[in-house]
Amino acid sequence: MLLSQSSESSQGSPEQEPEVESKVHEGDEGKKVIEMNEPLNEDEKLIWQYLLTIMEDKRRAEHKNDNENDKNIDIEKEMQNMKLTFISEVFETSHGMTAKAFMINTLEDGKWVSQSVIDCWAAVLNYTEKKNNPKGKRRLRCYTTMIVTGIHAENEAATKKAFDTLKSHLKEVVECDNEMLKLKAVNIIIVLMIEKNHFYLICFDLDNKTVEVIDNVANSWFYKMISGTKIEDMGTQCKVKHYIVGYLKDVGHPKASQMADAKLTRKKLEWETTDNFNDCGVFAMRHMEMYGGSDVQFECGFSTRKDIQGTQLKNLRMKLATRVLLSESNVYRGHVLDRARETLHGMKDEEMQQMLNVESVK
Amino acid sequence: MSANDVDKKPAGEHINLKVKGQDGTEVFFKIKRSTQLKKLMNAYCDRQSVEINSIAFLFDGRRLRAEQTPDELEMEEGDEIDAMLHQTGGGFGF
Repeated sequence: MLLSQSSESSQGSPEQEPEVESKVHEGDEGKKVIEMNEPLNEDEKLIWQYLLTIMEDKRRAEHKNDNENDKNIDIEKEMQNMKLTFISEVFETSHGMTAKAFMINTLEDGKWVSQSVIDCWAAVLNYTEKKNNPKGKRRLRCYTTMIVTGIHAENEAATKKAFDTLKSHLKEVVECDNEMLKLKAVNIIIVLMIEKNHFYLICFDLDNKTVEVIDNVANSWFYKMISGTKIEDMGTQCKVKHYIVGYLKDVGHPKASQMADAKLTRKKLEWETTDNFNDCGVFAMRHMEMYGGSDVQFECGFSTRKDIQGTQLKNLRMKLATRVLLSESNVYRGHVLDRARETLHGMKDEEMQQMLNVESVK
Repeated sequence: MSANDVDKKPAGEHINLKVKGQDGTEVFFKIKRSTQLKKLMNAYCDRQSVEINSIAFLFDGRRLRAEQTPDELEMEEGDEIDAMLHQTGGGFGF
């Protein structure tokens, strides 16, 4: 299995990053945002084609399972032929955010995106922000696991529990840095929401005292932004605001009381969708990359024309997958590139052509 | 042995850990401090009838890796592990 050796070697010292075996081009992640209208560069092509081979391995393995009731199965032979690349770890930060290959593969066109991919992207963006602006204020993208949407805080004990969950999960986002837990070094908190299989953002702009919901779906019928004095009457977004403001008060954040008065609004997007039931994860990933505050024009580059937007989303999926894997924050970056070169080098031209044809038909 | 006796017992080679699901359900496990958490994860997933790859386990703000042990993580008696189901999203809202 890919990288099993390096995983073992890092056991004794989890903070120590595995040695990168190959030379890797300096990442340009810190310098610019993803250009979704540009074609893939050479490294990106290499990684995407490698991901295609992993998807193919998964399909083969799944097909094998379909036939498991057949008689005379040669298990040794089957295991020899079956490649388990899809369950290998391909992303890990020095703070333990990990993803397996099959999760990254959910960025394949037409698939629903895994929340782990969204969390990895948040980790990549946070890393970039920290690197570019180590001391100044910055945006903090929180992971999808931080808010449990089913929480009902009907009494004091339940409310405390909700805050404890938030704090414990926030600790992962701020990389177990106790100082960062006070959030004083942050001016925008972006909370990634997954609710009823739908991704969207709730953005807390602490400088401008605003709370904005960013959702690509024009009318998300399943939620209403209901405010209320009682927690049980509130809609999800209002509850999340309640928890975040409560947390800010708890850690003595100077903006806590101002944020309590902040109005909760939904941001109007020109590129909003009415009949896209696949790409909310991709939209959310772009939105969390581009959001710069309520006082800054929110421009993500999406076309309002459906056909063009579709092509952009397809390209963006590939770019996001490769950007995550090639990120400097990914301790497996060098290994993934090595493995990609090795795998694709060993493939016959006809095999690759066949794989690309299958992909282009979809 | 009474509950008080257990309390008085010095830290032994075993530890009791609680795994809490997103729906609030709690499952308790007794495990050796030097045993890889893979065993606990497998046992939890077996009981919940879910694939191990579909669950993320978090402890004290960190994602757990299968090869880590309670000793390595300095876990204490009664510590709680969160089990989060990996979800995917597309935009249906169902």
